[in-house]
Amino acid sequence: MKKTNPYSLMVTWRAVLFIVVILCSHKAAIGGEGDYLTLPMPQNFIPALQTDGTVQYTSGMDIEKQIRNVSPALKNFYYNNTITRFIIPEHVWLDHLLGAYDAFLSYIGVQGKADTWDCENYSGMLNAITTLRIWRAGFLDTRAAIGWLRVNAQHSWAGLPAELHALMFAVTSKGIFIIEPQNGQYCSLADYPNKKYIEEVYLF
Amino acid sequence: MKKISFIHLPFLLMISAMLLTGCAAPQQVEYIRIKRGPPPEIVAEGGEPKMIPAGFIKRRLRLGLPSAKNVVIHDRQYIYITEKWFHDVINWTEDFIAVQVPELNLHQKYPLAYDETFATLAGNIANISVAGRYNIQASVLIGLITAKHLKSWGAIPADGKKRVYLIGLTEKGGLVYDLHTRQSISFDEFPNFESITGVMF
Repeated sequence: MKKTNPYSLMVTWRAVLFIVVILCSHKAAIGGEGDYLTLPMPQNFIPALQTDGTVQYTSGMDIEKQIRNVSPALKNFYYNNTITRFIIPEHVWLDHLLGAYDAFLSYIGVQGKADTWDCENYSGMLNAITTLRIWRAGFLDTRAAIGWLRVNAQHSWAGLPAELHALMFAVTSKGIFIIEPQNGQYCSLADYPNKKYIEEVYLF
Repeated sequence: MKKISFIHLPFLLMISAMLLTGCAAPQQVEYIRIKRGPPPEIVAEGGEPKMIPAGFIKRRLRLGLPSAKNVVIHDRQYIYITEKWFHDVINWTEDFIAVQVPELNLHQKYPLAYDETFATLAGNIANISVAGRYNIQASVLIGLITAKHLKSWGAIPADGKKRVYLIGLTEKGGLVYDLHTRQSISFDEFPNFESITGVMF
């Protein structure tokens, strides 16, 4: 049998120890510290700008119109009509948001469960976190255009079967995007294979 | 092909560890530090969590609130929580917001849709706590009501304006809470009960 070099064994053990220390310290950085939690949040909100440099907004009516245009099945569109404008993020910020939200959900360890933690919880929490980041950036007179919708899916998408399902949506500088909350996969409303079968939209 | 010798293994492991930690911590993330919230306190009945079906609440609201145009109920089953924990959740949600938007506390500014966002956060924070501790398929009832203020309530005048309040389901029944004056009252005794225009939870 080939003899192992004691020096290389020692180096290997040190490397293993190094990995353990790195992984543990990383866990401590995102995890709890006694009575405190260290929660991952998305980085600074990036608003979409118009050509004249002013911030872009949309309205509940405009979002409703865009969804009605592609979905003849749409029955109800719920939103708070006292909010006249919803701020639009630069599209790249959607990736920041979803990456951070994924880290947040992994950290808190919540699993999808009917009623206790289902689609409107995923969407509501994402909407609220986004709105806080918008306020933090100084935009106190608006909130996020993120909500959820019910779709009677006829085609499988994002690894989910064709059945009645709830999904999230977000408006960015590139338009409306449909998001699968269970895995963060998203596509534009135009490319969403079940867009004709959206039945209810909740912009909350 | 050249073989990788045993001496290279530690370096390969180090590189793997760096890649792994890099993947686990997305660059787009910023961390906030906040005190842990108190554990959930749900109400039990006969050794089981006390629950109420959404259909029952919906019927009661439709019959009892003829002025309510919108009654939006998301879940099928709701649990009762203690009034103490309801207030704990409110306090923790205030801290969660203050950590991220400190200027709201400094200037006592309330942004547009503050109450709605607060209710969404509080309800979801409560559900996260419950989901982490109990294996039940029911939601904490923390939501919103909108009412026309035809009668005064404490320092809030009877000015006919529409206002938004938090509602919760506790061991004492439905509870109405005002985020700005911090007063609360049972749902049935709420002075503007008859002019509630919307309910959502």
